[in-house]
Amino acid sequence: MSENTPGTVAFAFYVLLFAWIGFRRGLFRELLVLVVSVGGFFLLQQNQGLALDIVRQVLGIVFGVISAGAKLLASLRAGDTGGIEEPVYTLGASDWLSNVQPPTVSFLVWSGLLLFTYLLTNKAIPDSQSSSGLLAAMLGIGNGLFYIPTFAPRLINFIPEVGVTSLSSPGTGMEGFLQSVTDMMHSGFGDLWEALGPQQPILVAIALTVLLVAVISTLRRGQT
Amino acid sequence: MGLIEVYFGSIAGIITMIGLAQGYARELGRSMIIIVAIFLLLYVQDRLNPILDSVWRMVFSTEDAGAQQLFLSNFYLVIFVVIIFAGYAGRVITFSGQQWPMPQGAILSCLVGAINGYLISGSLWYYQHIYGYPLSNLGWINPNLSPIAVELVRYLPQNVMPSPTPWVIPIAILLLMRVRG
Repeated sequence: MSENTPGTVAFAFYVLLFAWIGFRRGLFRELLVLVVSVGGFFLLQQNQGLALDIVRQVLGIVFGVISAGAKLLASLRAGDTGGIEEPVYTLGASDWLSNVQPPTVSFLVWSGLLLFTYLLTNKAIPDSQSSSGLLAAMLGIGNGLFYIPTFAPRLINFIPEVGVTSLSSPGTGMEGFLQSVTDMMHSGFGDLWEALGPQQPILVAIALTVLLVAVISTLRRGQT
Repeated sequence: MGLIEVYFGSIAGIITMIGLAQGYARELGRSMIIIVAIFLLLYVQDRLNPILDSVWRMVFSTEDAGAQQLFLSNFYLVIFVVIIFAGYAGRVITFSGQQWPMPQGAILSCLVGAINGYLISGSLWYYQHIYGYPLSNLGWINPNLSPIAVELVRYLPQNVMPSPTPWVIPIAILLLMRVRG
């Protein structure tokens, strides 16, 4: 048993877990999650300022409502509906976001979006429209694999002995998109890819075959 | 001249769009032809190159390495493009059954189109890469690779599976599935 065995077993368990999730949730739900997670990630990576602006606007509305409610409550308690000179609730969205980094905000927005998509697809899409099968399981695995390079560099911060890996901040446009993709490949799959060693070609061939077979299996029989 | 990764990325994008328009039931047959083309060229490449070298020297009587690389690169490019053109223009192997309706069907078509785009565009790039980008002599592409392009070259289809043997696996399985009906 080599020293890589625990890692391999953990990875296999991780893949099986997401395959099972994909199988249970069905193809359509997993497809939507994949589109939102991949599309949203790259979109937010290249528009980090936009993500910050959106969060600032949303928090501005939330803080505005809270502040207005607090003022109203305070004035009702004081028996004066004319308002108070000093605002009761002085903390605003800009205070919360003054020291925050745009990549952190875009990651949080993306995580929230992902969670929302999982919950929404579970509730809004009936089981009959999201069929289970090999392709659904593969999409589940695809989602799981996508989370490795997105979450792993951040989770690894909790393991001081291992060190810190951070994703670089990409540029914009097509180059920025490609930079994001290559960064992800390096940060998430680089070690795994190297660890596969001489088995790489055969595993890629098997993955390609399973993917094509899974797509063929969706063709409905009895009709042309 | 733009960046090479954008150039080949655009080709892959166009092929993905074709896949979306045509539907994945037809695109799967083309995937098979593309994989067969990649397998054939990889299989004959090492055996054929010495013969092509001899033919080149005999016909053109020159030792110009750049021109020789251009000849070899174009030889494989033309064969590959002819096979792919035949796959797209002629009759292809089709798998029986009806594809899923929108939106799942469209997404699957996009997925299979993207696989075909990667295989075609990646192969075109590969035959430029291994012969030192000879088309840059004609001013068609920029030979100066960006760091991203250097990274992407590692993931070209023929670099991921450099031996022809693994390419037989999808061909064999898809053929079996086709025969099964």
